[in-house]
Amino acid sequence: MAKKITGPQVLTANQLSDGMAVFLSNDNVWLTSIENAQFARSEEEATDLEACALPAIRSNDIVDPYLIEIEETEAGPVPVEFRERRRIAGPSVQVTFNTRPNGQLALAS
Amino acid sequence: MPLIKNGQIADDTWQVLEDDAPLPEQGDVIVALERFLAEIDQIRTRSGRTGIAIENTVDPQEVTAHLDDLDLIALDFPAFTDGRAYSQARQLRTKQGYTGELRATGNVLADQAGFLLQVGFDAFEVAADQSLDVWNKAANSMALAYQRGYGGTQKTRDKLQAARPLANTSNCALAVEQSLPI
Amino acid sequence: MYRYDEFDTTFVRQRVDQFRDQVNRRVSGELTEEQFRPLRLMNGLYLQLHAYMLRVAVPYGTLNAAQMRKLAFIADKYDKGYGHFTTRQNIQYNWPKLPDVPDILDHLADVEMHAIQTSGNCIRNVTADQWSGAAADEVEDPRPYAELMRQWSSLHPEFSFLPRKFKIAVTGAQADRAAIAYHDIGLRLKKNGSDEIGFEVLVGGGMGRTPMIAARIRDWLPKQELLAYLEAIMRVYNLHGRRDNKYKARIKILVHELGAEEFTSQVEEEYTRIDAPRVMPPAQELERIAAYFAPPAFDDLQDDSPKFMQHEEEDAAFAQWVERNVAAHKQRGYAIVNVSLKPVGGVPGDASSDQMRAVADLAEQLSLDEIRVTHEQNLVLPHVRKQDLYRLWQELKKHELADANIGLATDIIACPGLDYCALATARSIPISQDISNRLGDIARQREIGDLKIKISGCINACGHHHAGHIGILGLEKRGQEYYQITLGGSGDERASVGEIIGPGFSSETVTDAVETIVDTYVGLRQNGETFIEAYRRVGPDPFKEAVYAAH
Ligand code: SF4
Repeated sequence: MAKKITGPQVLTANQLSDGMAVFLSNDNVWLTSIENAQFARSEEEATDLEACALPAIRSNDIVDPYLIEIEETEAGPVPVEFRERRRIAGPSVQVTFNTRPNGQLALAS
Repeated sequence: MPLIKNGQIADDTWQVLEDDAPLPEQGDVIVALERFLAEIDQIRTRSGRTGIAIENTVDPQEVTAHLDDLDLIALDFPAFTDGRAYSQARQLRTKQGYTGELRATGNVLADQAGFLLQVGFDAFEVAADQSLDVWNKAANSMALAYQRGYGGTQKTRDKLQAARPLANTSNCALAVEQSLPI
Repeated sequence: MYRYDEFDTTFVRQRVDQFRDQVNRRVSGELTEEQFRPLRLMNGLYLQLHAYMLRVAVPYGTLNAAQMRKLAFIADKYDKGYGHFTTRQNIQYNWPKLPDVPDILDHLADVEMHAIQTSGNCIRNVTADQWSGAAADEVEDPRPYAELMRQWSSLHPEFSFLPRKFKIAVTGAQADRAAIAYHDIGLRLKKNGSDEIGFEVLVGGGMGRTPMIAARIRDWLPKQELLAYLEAIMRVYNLHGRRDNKYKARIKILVHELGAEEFTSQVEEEYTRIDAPRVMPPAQELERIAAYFAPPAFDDLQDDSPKFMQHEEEDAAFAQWVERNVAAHKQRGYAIVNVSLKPVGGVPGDASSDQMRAVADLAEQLSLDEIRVTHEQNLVLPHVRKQDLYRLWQELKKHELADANIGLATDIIACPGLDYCALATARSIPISQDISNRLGDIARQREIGDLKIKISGCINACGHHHAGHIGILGLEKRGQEYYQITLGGSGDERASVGEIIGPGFSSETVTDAVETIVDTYVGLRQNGETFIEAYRRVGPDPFKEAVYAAH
């Protein structure tokens, strides 16, 4: 059954190995950035896009795929839902701890 | 559905009887609890063995009076995360003293095998693609159990200590020996 | 404290191997995500918003220096150099990679730690009063029983697939520092008329979307019967707890729907059916465990240390720290030191690996090698000689661990919220930081006095907002975070559930609202009453008026 949509959709999932959020790109590869994500603009396209997750599930590269609605902006696609925007942005917390050589600071804010 | 018993694929001589199918004189049949209770007199005259399947919402006490008439009780796991049948099994095996076959049906996965054995199941209907090796490995992955009074092959601390008295452990952990006699 | 013997060590190692095998089977595709999810959850591994999160149990909140150092090592080697201490006395790592988790567990096993049952619908890490074994007001150290329950609940064959998660807390004191009334089972050690020690048993407390204070189902349970009685409670719950709706699946709903009386009679009936001697540990086993918790080798000291008193007199900052962070010890000449993980503007409960190592060193040198984790997301050095307090304080200061704010406005509990948690509806950490910065001036905090502010990022209430004097719940509406405020909650021996004061606030205005509430209290308090005392006297109205008039 075609999925009811109210705007363009992109396909997201988490990488199995480290849990990072990933997005299916125009070239059909999974990237950690949403910038080049593939859009679905109709309900049929959404159904097709969702099916694109299967190979990566079968190869055990990703888990828990789902579609999210985005808004197209100058800066690229931005999720409509607040949670998804946070998921992309990473923790807003400034971590000011001393970091050890092998514990790099990777928190953006 | 393949059946696993004693770590082996076993022949399943039991047949699940549809509610409207006539009760055969011979052969091992599993009937629903209601039918069993309703037709108990007839069932007693059969030459074949009889078992029941009970849902996980049924209080096992309902069959306490009939345990001698039963050679098999099948308990269901509608989802493997639905753990009611563990307690049903435990009640049947302990206070009710049931000694016949206790069969796990439904969504029965290898990673539950150890627990199932501990609460008293001894037969397992598994998915067609269940590897016996994986099953046995999972079933035996824990050689020890903390809980006293449960079954299974796991050793409790009392048993282990009876076999191997421990030295004074007052201030430091004992070195782990590589090969425990378990 | 408890030390593993051969049995425990083997058990935990086998559990690691078992999990390693499960991870391998997941990575190879033999297990689907559906099948793997409950298995990884049984070992504390969540898939969160940005990464996996591994929750490591700190059983009943007790650690030694070697364990704390190992936690620091793991933070550095497998994470980003920090960890988060939680309201369940656990520590969470926010960035582990799936293939590394079995190795992390092996490292933990090296120091007698694990992640067994830190999530999943099973019996979770048993928590206890963080001052156990040190508190001046306890009838008995509850940790031997907590350890007994840790062992008994580990990979319990019957109770590992419960309707929902299950949390047990135990205390040995009348003052409730373990929030036992907010647990699925709360246990309090007490003495009866003939000086025997037993348990008072509470069941059915909890937070979440339906906060409830636990009902007392047994006033007296002989202590040796503990496990058999718990088995009866757990069996009634496992068989009859609701499984049709995950929001109604906790035991509190069963107790509520049956009524405490009917629930109690079902438990008591099941209890008569249990072959108690078969499941209860033999007396020598209880003794074996209890022996590990024998009081450490305290020095025989005078109660007062002149050196300490002199420092207190000469150094006002030190005196303030002592007043807020140091508590009475049962041993003469000793004190309990609470180490704040709530620097003004910081992330509640977070500690860097350097801080963990510093605490480990100090525990070894000055606290008989013991550390505790509190459900209020702080640490405790439980056995410090009074004469060493000044030196300890100076060392803690070097590591930003000497905030003198225990129990004050900036000692805020906050869950990870939408900065990390996949279930969150809003962020909690930035709100906590904002409030902490606003009220952070130490003179002002001291002027405000005892105040518990607790923040959760969703209805699950991991930040215990229902039990906050001021509780804040983060929600989301039309793409915006907003925050609901409750007043009057309490998690102690006079447990109460906070009441919502009215419409929520935006992330920009919630701090103003909190400040208004605090100022309103300061304006109306009488005779030095605390916030919660004043609230109980006047009720919510003055606060509502002030908050909603101003906004
Ligand atoms: S309260 Fe909600 S947001 Fe906070 S940690 Fe719990 S589940 Fe996550």
